[in-house]
Amino acid sequence: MNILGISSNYHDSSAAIIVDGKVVASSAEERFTLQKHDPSFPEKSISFCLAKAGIKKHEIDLVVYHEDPHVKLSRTLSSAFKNFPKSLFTFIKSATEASTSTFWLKYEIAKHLGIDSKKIKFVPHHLSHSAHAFLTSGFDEAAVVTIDAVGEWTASCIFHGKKTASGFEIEPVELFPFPNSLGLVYSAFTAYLGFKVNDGECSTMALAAFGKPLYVDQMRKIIQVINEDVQIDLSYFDFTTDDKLPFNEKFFSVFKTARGVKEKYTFDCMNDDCLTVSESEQYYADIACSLQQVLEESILVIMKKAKRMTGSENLCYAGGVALNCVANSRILEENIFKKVYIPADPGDGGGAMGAALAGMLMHDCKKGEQISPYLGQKYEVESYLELIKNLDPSEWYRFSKINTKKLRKDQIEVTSYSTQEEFLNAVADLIANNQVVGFLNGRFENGPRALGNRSILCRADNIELAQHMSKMIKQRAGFRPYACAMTEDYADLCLETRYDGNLNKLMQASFKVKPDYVKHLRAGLHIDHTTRAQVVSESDNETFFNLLKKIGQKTGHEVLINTSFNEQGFPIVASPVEAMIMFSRTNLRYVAMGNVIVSKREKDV
Amino acid sequence: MKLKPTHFFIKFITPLIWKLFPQRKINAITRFSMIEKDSAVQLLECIRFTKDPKIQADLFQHVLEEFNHADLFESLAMSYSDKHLNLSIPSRENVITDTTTMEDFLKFYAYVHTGESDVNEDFELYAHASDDQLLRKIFLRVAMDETRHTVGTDKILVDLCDGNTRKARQLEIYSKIRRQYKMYTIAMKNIGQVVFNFYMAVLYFLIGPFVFQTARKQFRWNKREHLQFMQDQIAEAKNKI
Ligand SMILES: [Fe+2]
Ligand SMILES: [Fe+2]
Ligand SMILES: [Fe+2]
Repeated sequence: MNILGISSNYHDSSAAIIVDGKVVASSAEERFTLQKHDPSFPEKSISFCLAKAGIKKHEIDLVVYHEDPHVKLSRTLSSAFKNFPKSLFTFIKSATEASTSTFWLKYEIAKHLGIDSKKIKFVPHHLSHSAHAFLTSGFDEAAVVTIDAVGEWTASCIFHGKKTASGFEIEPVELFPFPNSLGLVYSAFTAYLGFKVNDGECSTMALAAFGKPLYVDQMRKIIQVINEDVQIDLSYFDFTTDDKLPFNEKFFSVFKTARGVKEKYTFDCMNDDCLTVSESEQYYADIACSLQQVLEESILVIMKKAKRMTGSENLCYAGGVALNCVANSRILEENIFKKVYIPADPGDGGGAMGAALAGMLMHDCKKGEQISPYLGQKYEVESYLELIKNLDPSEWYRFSKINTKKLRKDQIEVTSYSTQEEFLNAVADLIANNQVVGFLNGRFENGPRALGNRSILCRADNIELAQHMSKMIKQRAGFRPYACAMTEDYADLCLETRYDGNLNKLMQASFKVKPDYVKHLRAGLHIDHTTRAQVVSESDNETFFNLLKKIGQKTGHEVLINTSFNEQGFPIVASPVEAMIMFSRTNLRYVAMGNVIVSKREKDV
Repeated sequence: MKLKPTHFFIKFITPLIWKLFPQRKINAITRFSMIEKDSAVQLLECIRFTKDPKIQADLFQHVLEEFNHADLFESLAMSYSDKHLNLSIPSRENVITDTTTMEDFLKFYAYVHTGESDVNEDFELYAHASDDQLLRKIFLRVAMDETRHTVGTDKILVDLCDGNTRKARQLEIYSKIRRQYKMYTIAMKNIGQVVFNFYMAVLYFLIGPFVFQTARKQFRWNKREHLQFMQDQIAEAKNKI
């Protein structure tokens, strides 16, 4: 049976395909359209999924959409009329969406795919998330928690996932209705702190490490925990307009004015001594810290409730809030569950896979096995080599946002290696010699984290190099930490605590590093000396594991900074062409892919 | 340059609108940034379509320039704005798909080519729609690039047509008609949206007084009611599947 999952129309549109119970391919649309968080219909992802599965459109048996758009419409219209007569513009927005999308969605999808609209089904958004988390966890039984901004009428939900005689089953046991949404409040504060909503949430989390929890009391008045229940005090918010921040006078009588979007934060996560910033900047960091603390408290309340209601020792967790790796670490530290699993893409980018799995669950679900995060497209590098050899870099310096050097054609070198062993040796040599290398290998990852297949890599002990990378390659704010990838053996040596589950495989939690190892990993650590570790075993990703081993041989430490292969404002690269675009627009000097290293010889200029 | 109706608008109406409504200026420049980025992405698709590495390399260069234009417009819009820009393209037209034939591809490329000459004239006029020196500089710089692109894309188009200039010209005329039609549909859609908004505003005030209580009641549902609703939703979905 062929089941296609689709998620679209909000942010991070995606597609995934299941063939006879196995997830064969999955991708976010942004990887093919270069538009970060692309919300448009995932036409290209669908094409990729079908091609990878080797099936034609008419061979699709079932299409499952990640939410029920009609129920969602009932919420948006109710929200509009609830605020009558102050909500004309929200009403018109919902009505426009209804008339251009919601009412026709089934037929639109059917038209795109050229199939009968009867094959298209909608499932509740939180069921998509929970099916994604549970059916890819490998657990036979688990508490399944989804914490999101909003899906139809639900903000967060607790399910109980079980294996039964006939397959698997996921039952909702508790629900936290909209607008009591931790995700929405976190996003609202993200905007308040000057970051972009649905993109800058990771910046809010990073900023929190520089603050003190001075405003938790005020924050607890907004996010209230009453008898195992999380409630939001809406009297601080004004959601009637899209034009300004969703806060009202009551909010601003407690908190200062919002941080301007152009005001930069000067905190530096790599500098232990530089903690003095302006009073105003510190204020916003304290707000972020207080928010993070209250978010964690609330999440723990939900998790403990999930444990009590299901009696399970296992947790599967998804929804946009599950991307908050600092809060995820708290879940581990509290030891509420023995094993914790979060999929590679717990947000809406994983919505399509969740929808397809929910379809499988409802149809005839016999399987529930752990899946690889490398379900994207693979590219044959050889077919791009002629293009690369024909590139003329003499004008590239003109097209860059940052200062890049003027190059001659002969300053681009393409070196091919006959074996992967030699290739990885050369890459490891470059990295050991303090170079930053873009690394493209096999199928691309699902989710927002690069896990060694679309990564930019460099030594973890060279702070200057990492700072150069932030400024001249990634164009990334100094307060945002990098992550470290390491082998399992090295993780045993350098991490304070090791936990069961997959969180350390997919960079889903941050871990404290032992004081003796701080200097070897400092460039990949946050200001509190934690790292969003990716612990790699040979079975997870053989090529990347071998590279880490070689790094170990050359530097004595099987660890690297692993950051996503993308430029600020762009999604992670998919193909060698996009890798070359980043190569030409930034100061990235080496791209290693498919036994080939493309380099800029800049020294002779 | 002949003064087309759109040129008249940009020359005489746009400066006024931009002065009176600065947000309109930001929106317009943001839109240019999105259009430039979109053309970069479409050209990237062309790279995948052709097999000739020389043409691919030319297209690559073109992609970089379009991304650069997108960057320039984005930073210009941001310099006027105190909010983050909304840079998402709501409905992208996927021109190159897996069923695209060489003939479709040529039509698309001709469309790109005519687009280059259209925008270079527009951007030159926009450069004078404001007194701001930075704005003028950026629009003129982009217009200059677009003029050069017109020559470049013309050459690639002829190359793609295996040197058949007659065919290239025919494709050009065809795509000019397509462009006019597209502009017509966009204008109609905008007019349609205004009419729709008007009807919806009337509807809002007509039914609002009767339904707002019901809407508020739904927000007072307790958790049990919500949970029941979700269970019913799941049962219904299961039934249908
Ligand atoms: Fe979601
Ligand atoms: Fe352009
Ligand atoms: Fe152009």
